Amino acid sequence: MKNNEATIFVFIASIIVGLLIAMNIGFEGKSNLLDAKQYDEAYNERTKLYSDLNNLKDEYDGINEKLSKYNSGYSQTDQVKKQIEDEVSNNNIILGNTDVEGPGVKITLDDADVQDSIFQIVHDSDIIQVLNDLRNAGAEAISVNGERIVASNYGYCGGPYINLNGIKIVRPFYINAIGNQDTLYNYLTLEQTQITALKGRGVKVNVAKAGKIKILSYNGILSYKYMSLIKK
Amino acid sequence: MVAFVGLLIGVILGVVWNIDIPVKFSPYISVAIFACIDSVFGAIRGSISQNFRADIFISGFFGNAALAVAMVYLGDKLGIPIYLAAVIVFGGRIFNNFAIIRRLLLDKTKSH
Repeated sequence: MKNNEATIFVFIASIIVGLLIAMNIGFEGKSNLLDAKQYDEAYNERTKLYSDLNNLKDEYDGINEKLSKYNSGYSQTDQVKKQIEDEVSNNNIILGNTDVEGPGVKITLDDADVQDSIFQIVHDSDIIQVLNDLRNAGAEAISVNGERIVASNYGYCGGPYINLNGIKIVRPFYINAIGNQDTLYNYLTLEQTQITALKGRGVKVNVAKAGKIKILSYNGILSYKYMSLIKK
Repeated sequence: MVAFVGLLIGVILGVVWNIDIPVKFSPYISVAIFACIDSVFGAIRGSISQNFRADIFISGFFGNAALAVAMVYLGDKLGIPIYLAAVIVFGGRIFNNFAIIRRLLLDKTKSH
């Protein structure tokens, strides 16, 4: 009787165990318990994904904002156009493609009447150094004998004249510069500048402030051959 | 003998019903199975040595399984594989019980 009872219980228990095994057998060999290393990797990956997600969200917000700005700006096309035109004309002024006027200084350089030596003549290097001085002092637009000075100008001595950007200019040299009058004037009359050096050499130098100077636009062509935009 | 028949029936039933338990619970069930097998071996041994008690068997069958599952859960939370303790203890007891069953059966066949 007791043996019988045990047999029944063992039978039932075996069925339960068999059921459990059958239920679980499909998952054998792929336990979901990770060891420390796998856990670490999974954790790092999760962190990375979260930060990626945040970055993407930020980016999305930024782009969305820009887009909405464009959309609202689209109804005011004129305004956008005007803004672009303003920017272009501003750039042209800076580049020297437009006639400009404003306060500044006028410099006149001429060879000395009695030329004892080479030092009493105004050379191309003198002109360049005077231009450098003017730029240091904050001159916004400079011309030499009416010729606008831009970044790509060059000048060299061609004997009795100076070749400036292919145009021959002869003495006397009239250098006009637009900028803060006082700053320019004070800077040019400092001891270390080329103007002072030229004065010491006996060259005829005249620096004068002027309330309104007109400087014409650069009439050459600004072009480039070798450089190109860096693609981001 | 009856244990193997029961096991076979259980497996067949499980396959036929095709019950899926979530992967999450897989390690718990594995350890619970081990505890149940241990109990079954204990019951066989008891029935052979004529000192089987139903209340002890039933309480052991479910109690061991529950305790083993609880240990796996705790180990999971603490980051220590505590389930190894359950596996070692139950494994050792299964072999122990099997050894006693073997001896009893061999003695029985000898005495006949």
